[in-house]
Amino acid sequence: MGYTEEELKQDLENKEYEFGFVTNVESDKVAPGLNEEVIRTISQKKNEPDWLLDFRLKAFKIWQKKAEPEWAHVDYEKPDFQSISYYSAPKQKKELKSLDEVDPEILKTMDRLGISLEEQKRLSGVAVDFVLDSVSVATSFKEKLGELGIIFCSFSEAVQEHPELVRKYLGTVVPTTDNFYAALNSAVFTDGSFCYIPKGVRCPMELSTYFRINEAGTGQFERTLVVADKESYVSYLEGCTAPQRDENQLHAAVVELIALDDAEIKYSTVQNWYPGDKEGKGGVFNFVTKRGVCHKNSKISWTQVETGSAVTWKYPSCILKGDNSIGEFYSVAVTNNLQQADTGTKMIHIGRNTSSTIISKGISSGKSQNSYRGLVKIAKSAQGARNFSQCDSLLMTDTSGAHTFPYIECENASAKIEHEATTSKIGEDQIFYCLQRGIDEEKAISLIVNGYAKEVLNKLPMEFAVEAQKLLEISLEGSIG
Amino acid sequence: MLEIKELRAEIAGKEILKGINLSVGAGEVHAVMGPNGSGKSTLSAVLAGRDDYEVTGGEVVYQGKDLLDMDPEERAWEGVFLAFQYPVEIPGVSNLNFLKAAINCKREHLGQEPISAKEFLGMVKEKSKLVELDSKLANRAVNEGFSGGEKKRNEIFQMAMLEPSLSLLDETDSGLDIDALRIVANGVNTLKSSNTATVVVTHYQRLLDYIVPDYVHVLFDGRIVKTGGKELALELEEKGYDWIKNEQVEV
Amino acid sequence: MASVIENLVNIADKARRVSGLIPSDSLERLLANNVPSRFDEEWKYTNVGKVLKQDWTGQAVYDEANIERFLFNDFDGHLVVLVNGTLDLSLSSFSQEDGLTIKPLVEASQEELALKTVEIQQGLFIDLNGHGCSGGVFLHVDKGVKVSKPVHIINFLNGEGSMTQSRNIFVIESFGQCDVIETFCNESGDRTFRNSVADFVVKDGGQLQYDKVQQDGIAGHHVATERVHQSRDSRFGINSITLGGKFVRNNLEIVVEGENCHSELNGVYLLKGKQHVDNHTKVDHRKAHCTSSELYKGIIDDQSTGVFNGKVLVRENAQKIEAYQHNSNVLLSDFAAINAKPELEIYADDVKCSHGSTTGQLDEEALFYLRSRGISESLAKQILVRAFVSEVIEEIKNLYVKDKVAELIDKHFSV
Repeated sequence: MGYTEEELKQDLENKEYEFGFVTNVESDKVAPGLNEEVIRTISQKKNEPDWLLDFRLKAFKIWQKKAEPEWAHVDYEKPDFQSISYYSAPKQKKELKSLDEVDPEILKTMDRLGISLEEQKRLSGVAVDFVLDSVSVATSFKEKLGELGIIFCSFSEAVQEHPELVRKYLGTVVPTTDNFYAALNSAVFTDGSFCYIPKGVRCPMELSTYFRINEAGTGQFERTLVVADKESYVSYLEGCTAPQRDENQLHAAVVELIALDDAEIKYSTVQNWYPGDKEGKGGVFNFVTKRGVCHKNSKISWTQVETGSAVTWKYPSCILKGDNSIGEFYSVAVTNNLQQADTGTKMIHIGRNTSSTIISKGISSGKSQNSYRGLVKIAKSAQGARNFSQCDSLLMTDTSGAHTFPYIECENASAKIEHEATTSKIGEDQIFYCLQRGIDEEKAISLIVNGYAKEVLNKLPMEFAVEAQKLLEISLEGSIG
Repeated sequence: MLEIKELRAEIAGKEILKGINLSVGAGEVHAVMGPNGSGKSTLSAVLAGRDDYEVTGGEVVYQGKDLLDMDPEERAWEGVFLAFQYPVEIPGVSNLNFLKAAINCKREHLGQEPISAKEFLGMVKEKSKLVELDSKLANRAVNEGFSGGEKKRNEIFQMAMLEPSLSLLDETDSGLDIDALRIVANGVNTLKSSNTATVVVTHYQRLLDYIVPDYVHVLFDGRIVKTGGKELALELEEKGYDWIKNEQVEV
Repeated sequence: MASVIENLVNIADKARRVSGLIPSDSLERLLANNVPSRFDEEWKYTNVGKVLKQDWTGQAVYDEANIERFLFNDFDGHLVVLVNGTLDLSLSSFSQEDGLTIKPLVEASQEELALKTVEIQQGLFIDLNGHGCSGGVFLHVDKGVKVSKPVHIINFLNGEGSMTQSRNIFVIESFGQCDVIETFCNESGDRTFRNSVADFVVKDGGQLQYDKVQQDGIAGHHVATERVHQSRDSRFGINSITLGGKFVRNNLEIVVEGENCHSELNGVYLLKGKQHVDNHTKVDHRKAHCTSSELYKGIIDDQSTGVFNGKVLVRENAQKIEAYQHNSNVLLSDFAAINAKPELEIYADDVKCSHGSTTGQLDEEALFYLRSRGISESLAKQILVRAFVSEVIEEIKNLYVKDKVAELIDKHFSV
């Protein structure tokens, strides 16, 4: 600890310099600190309608009254919210001429992840024709989506172009009163993404941040809103397997999903933010509120592969409001070195015949702490509700910790709830068996770990799954002595 | 092919192998027999490189190289195969994926190209017939939910796929019924050639009805105390291990 | 106006008979406690404030203790009867078997009261009990002594609106062995509140089996704290049977501070009416090579609420621990509720720990099958409920307890 945001920023800026980036003069930045004036400024700069400013101000009042949560099994130095600058225009990066100018370490990692050369250039900010291609590719996708009536744009754009939709759904799943970080996000969020799938439309492609060029610099308070209208389907990918360094130490995003009658939303995340160094210095605090509401016969499925961040506090949840609705949560969380993760889900059963499945696989290595925390709540009205939870923990070292905190609350006699959890060590006999067959230790660990996490990795869209597997491998490198 | 000289090994400070001498030539089948606790399984574990055991003396030369100096996976690359007495379950990792990884690691070590999918699948088809292994088992996770007999057949299937020079079968017959025993033995016999050697570690004589050894060694209290032809196994079966024990006491 | 805690302290002051359980200057600490609320993780599902706020200034009544129906049939063992937390020699019948000492807690020396368990768990209820302890039993088993007969302790409470705070202390020296049964009961119908604490110290190689039967009447309130300290090679077992009481909170904490120990926790709770029963258990594995096994099963009927919170903690370096925990619940009514929180907190890597929790109904198929054979629905349900809890009942080795529990379960359905 004792590593301030300023230091991290400097550190990263130095690195950026090292990488050959040149940061622009910070001309458009609000002074650090948070008060009503700052919020008004943000809203004004973004040319927002009055109702949104009201939303922010209300959230700010609520935030002031709330205390930072302390129940999670994590230990960190609380950020100083008055030393953060809540608005800065995206920084301009100097374009590189070729990949030779990029840090070879980063390239090596990308190589191992199997990220294509072109993609590597794009991610590293190398100026090539590809970027132009990317724009045109993205544009053509956008045209195609447009034909189907699908709206997929930055949050700011949505506020300007589709205010009625944003206003109708914003804050309906994660109310500003929900928790400390959600209130903070509601007050100061700068950008994010918005997605609307019209009635009866099946989105023909995975909606991925990869193809979004206009959402650069969404900042540390990202806001995502996905609305799937009746009988529609969408698969949304968030994040990136490539190591992401970010100048912000605190990330407090809010994601709201709305699945109307008979709709289905599949939301996949790969989170690989900077985890800090081996001594636990630096690293991102990832305090995220993600929640979806399911109307009649609808389904929301969360899949996450979490390998990054110094501290993770995240519980993608489903409110199963409509009858026969389905909630799913599939998670692999890897912690190494001094990382701490407290993650899980909440399945709130309200409608009749609702069902939920939770598969959580924790992997703890180094000196890290990895906790599953989940709530299964069966309300009195949830006749015939079903839940199955399986939470496994795999320990790689004797200095790491694995914890399971499930909360089961049942008020309906017709509900069936099953929860199983195991904690075990990666088997020395398993490793030896692989060695004897000529598979080296690194590969053996990766095989065993991927086998262990398979149920979850299988839920990821194909192109993501392969990268995620490799990511697990890299994240656990050197974890067995 | 394999030359063991005065091999000594201990686990947790307790000496188990107290000076083993054994010489195995190409094309030969050796059986190592002995009562419980004589050091049979320790011998195969030490040869495969299990690090629970500490080698405290002696040497093992395998194809002109110092075997004890190699990591377990190097030994495997060099053609040493151990059929485990208790094959390990690896949930979520398919048998085929596992074998492909093993073959490709070896190929990489030998500077060869990875095996093509077509070649690999052809090999799987051919070799699985050998041990009458259901193709469904090949696709399941390694040993997970396999019966005892299926696990042992899977071991021999892996052996067939990896084409070792030296195969160590550690009590492969334990827990097998006659049919399974016949299948396993048939697999081993088919894989036998003038370039390979097999060391069968067993408690009972019955496996040797199917895998006929050229030499039988009796292991007792960490030493090989008797060596003979296949008839020695029959004699052992008849007279029991007490015969050896008494003989040792007399000595 | 006096605070809730000040009120309780005033009542406790008057009832105090044993001192030395907590430091004399601890009143300040006691008053600094808060009444637990739903925002305290440990009290999330149990509103104990509602109980503490009631008027507990009622008088304990010392005569006419009707303990007859709480006795075991043809019991051959040591009988210890506590009325309102005080040992009643006239009702008790225990001999001083060789190596076994049973005496009123007031007679215990300061050395005998200085226990390792004291460091295990603190808080309002223990402080309060320490401040205003009305008595209890001190039981000591000498080194290497196997107590031949079981010890049955009956805690009887008498007096509308009365509160009692008993403390029982059990010390098993090295390789000593003893079976203890404790029954908690009150004059049925009396509104009572007991805040009991039991301390168990099981030294090297010692064995203690503790069976607890809670059968207070419909207005009984009970906060029970059990603190267990195990040394190497020891065994501690508990069967916790909760059949009565309006409000019950059991806090069981076992600290295993030696290698090669076994701890066994079993529980059954059968709830009906408006009962609220909360079982909190914690096994704290501090040393390697130990095993623990936990099985709690509950039947929740009518408008009752069950809470189960089991925690298995494996500390750093406590390798080779095998810990198993399971909790199953059956809800029989649409107004019944269960809150379960089985937790694993593991800081060592070479462990095998698992937990499971299920909540459901009686098997419809089985119910139908029984009915198709001519068994009435209510009897069929009863049979299936018995079958459901039999897994735990079978674990009760003491036949007195086993028979008694079977009898009580029958009665549970007949009322």
